[in-house]
Amino acid sequence: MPKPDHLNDIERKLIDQLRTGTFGTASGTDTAWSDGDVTVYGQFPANAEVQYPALIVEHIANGLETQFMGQDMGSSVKGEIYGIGFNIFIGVDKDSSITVDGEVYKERRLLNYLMLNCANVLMDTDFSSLSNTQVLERHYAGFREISYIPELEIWTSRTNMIITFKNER
Amino acid sequence: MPGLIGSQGVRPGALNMNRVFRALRYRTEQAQYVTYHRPEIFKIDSYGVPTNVGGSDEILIPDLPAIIRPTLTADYQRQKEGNNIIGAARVYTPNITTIKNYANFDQDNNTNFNEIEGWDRLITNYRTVFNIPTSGTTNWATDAGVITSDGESITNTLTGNGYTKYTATSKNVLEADRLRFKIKTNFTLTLTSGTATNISAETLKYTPTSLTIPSGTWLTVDLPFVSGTTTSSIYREGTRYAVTIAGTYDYEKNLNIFQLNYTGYTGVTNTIQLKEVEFYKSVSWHVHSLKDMTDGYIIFNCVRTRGRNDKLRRAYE
Repeated sequence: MPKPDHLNDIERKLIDQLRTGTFGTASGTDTAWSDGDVTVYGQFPANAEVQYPALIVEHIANGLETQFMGQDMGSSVKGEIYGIGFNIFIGVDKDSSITVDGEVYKERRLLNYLMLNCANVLMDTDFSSLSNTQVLERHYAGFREISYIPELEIWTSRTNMIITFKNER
Repeated sequence: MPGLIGSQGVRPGALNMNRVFRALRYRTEQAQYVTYHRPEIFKIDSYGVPTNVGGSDEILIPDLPAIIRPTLTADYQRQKEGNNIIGAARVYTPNITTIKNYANFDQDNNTNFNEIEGWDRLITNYRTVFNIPTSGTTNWATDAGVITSDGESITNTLTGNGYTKYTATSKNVLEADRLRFKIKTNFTLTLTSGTATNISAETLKYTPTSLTIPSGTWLTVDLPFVSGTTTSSIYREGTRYAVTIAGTYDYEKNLNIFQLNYTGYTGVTNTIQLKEVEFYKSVSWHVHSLKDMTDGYIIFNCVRTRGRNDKLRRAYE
């Protein structure tokens, strides 16, 4: 059995999906934007310069969700249901724009589009490709603190979510 | 006319601010010429959101005298939502009447400029990264003319249309994000393009739209030298000349050649002069509030909301 690395598996999968805005649909998958339209950071950017529009996926907490008698998850596997929590920020500056169905989206309209499609990604990311991590549930809390920050000259909003998975060993 | 704002308190009386700027500029970098920048403003749709249709052209005007008094030049702590370098400064400029007497700011010439308002930007020279010397003719070359120097500027006495170029022999200018130079002619020159070429022969090309430079006065050109920029502006006498910026250019590679290309040659006495050619690292101060406006001067409270971390840029890119 490979060494357990579920937290990194989930965080990286989420960042990959957000980078291309990919989410599941009834007929397969769809993408809300192209790779490069939106910059996704795994923490508050320590890059040379922030590129907007930006999504910041901040891992804020993890811990036990459910324990089982004797930590048994099967005849030969121990473990528990484990949870990981993320804060996700969106930042849009005055120069940010992406083209959606031929129309240029900016500022508030762009923020609205990013929020909804972030939600789509969070609710419909296909984690089945993770060979070592079995995701069970996701709880998305909805965007709030939707505002314009004049000091930083950006439009912003924040959400958080929890993903639970089998922490087998 | 008394001050418009903040009439309380003792005033220093009538100040000759241009003289103050001049005196300070000789002694300190706090007083310098800054570049006034108002990005293009787009028309809004029926819901108040900007479209892609231009409403008011970009204004980019160098040579505005100002005193910069930073209270915090660069805060490197990571901020929520991502801005990683911020700062604050108080910026003093001449009064609005004086500003409007500069040809580029004269509202008879430049109808888009009204006054310096909120979120307008004042771009300052944080550090000159590479100053192309014009005190001599070393490394300067032309395909049609003879280059001389008077110790301050170089002069190309033309024998035809062509180029004037400086071979920098591999200079590191990674930290620079703007390019500035002054040009003067004794005939009506058409500046067709300017190029920066790195040691891998990649060329960044600046192409102004129908920019003519008439005889007589120095024209200051101040343009972005940063990846991702595709358009900019040169202003002369309040008229905007759009500049397109194109080319594949790796900024980590050292600069090799700076070149200007031109037409308009009319005869053997035609000359082009260049001076103060520099690649510099800028700080863009954004006007957040107007502290005071008097007959003598204007005080703006400004912040910087962006900044590049150059050590990471070199390491990561």
